[in-house]
Amino acid sequence: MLKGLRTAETAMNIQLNKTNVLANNLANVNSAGFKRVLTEVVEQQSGTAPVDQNLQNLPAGGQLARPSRADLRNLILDVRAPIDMTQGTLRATGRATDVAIVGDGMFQVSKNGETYLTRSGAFTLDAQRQLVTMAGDPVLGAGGPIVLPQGELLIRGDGAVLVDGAEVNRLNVVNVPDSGRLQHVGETLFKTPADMPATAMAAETVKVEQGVLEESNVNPIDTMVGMIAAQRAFEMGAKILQAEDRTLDEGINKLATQA
Amino acid sequence: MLRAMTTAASGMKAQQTNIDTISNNLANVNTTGYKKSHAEFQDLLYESVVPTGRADGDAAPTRVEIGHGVKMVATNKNFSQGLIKQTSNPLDLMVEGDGFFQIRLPDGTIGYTRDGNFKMDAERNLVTSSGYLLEPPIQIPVDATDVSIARDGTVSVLLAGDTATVNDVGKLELARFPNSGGLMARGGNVFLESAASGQPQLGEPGLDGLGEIASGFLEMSNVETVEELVSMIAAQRAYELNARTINAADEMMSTVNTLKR
Repeated sequence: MLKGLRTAETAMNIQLNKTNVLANNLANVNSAGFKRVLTEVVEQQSGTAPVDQNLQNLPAGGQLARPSRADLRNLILDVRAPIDMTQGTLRATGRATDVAIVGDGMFQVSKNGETYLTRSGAFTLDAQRQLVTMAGDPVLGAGGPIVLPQGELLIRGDGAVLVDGAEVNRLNVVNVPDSGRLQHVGETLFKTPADMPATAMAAETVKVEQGVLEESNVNPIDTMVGMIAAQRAFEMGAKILQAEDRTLDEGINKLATQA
Repeated sequence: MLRAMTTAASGMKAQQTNIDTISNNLANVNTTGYKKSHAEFQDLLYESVVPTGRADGDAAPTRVEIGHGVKMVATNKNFSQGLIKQTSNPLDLMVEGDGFFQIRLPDGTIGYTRDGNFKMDAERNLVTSSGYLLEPPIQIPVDATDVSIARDGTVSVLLAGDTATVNDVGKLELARFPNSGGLMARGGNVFLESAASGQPQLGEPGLDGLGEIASGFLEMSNVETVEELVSMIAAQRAYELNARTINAADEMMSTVNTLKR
């Protein structure tokens, strides 16, 4: 009896989730290195969807009615939210500790003993002259954390870190096979799933730029359009729910009184 | 309530602080020795709505992660050299490169500044525009006729009636920090040492990577108005976007409220 109601409910819940994801994208429209989360609604092709009991019990001659069975399946919708790793706009800041990756690759950051990946190159120095993120977590180089002696800092295109012309370290720039499977952990950091370790990129394939930041790749217009669509789809779900409710009302209250 | 609402609220708050930072930069566009700040943002924690692996073994290739918005993580000070203004006043000093002048604040602590707009007080000590003493103190004799400050910070004077002898009356000292971006702004163009900045290292101008002193010049602010205005437009639009999110969330809630007849 409540199948239609549940279907409408699922549809509405999905639009709610979508709105939440889009709202987070919009809130981070100015976060350096932020990667937007996409929303895709998919129909679950699950063979375990319950089939209406009455149709299953049809006599042999009733097989022709079978195709309609699929229509009565519970509609199982699901939201997928892969991370979109496309390049954000580059903005020149002139700060020597700002670095942006052009093209593939991610920086490695150590936080509480664990290694995370980030596209945000908004780095700074701490009191020990270690290169750290804005949250104070050390950025990893080929020889562990990058400690800079006093002097003029130059970060070369291939990630080499030079102070007064002498190479002191090299930024770790790594890659993962499927960036869509990375997990957001906040602070513009990503975690790699256990079965997908990050691999270092060869120096000649790395391209970083000093004095430049990669801005968030959120497109405000796309996101706003998505949000309006989600809102209207939500309202449509509500209308279906109300229609189902009216049908039930007819069935229960009006039919019953006529009988 | 819809999570989108608090998410958007965090976005509006962040953009508000962003505008505050930008307007402070613009207000100080003509302040001697002012260093611009830039607000940096990061996303908040994420919540997994659907776990990766399901009970029926149908592992989804991607997860649904819903973030909780944005936070401001730092106002990053930019210590790049400001514009240079020639004043021809020998007591106007500028550090060409790294280094801060040290001044003694009224409570006895040492403050650090890039503002080299020095003057003499009643005792003929070199003081800042706010009247704070330069550290180490330098006193100009009463009968000095001509003051000159060399590039290495040596202050020398000519005394009345004797134009042949140059008298040294003191030497400026500069301080630098492992991380000058971590200094705490005290206001009045003065920065204070902090845990993030590290310990100051003192030295002679022109040595150990410290800048040289240019007398007769002032370092103006390093604020670039065009850059700030572009940032301001971006911040305002981002603020509006988040306001629209709240609107949309509100309308969805209203739809829910009218579901039940």
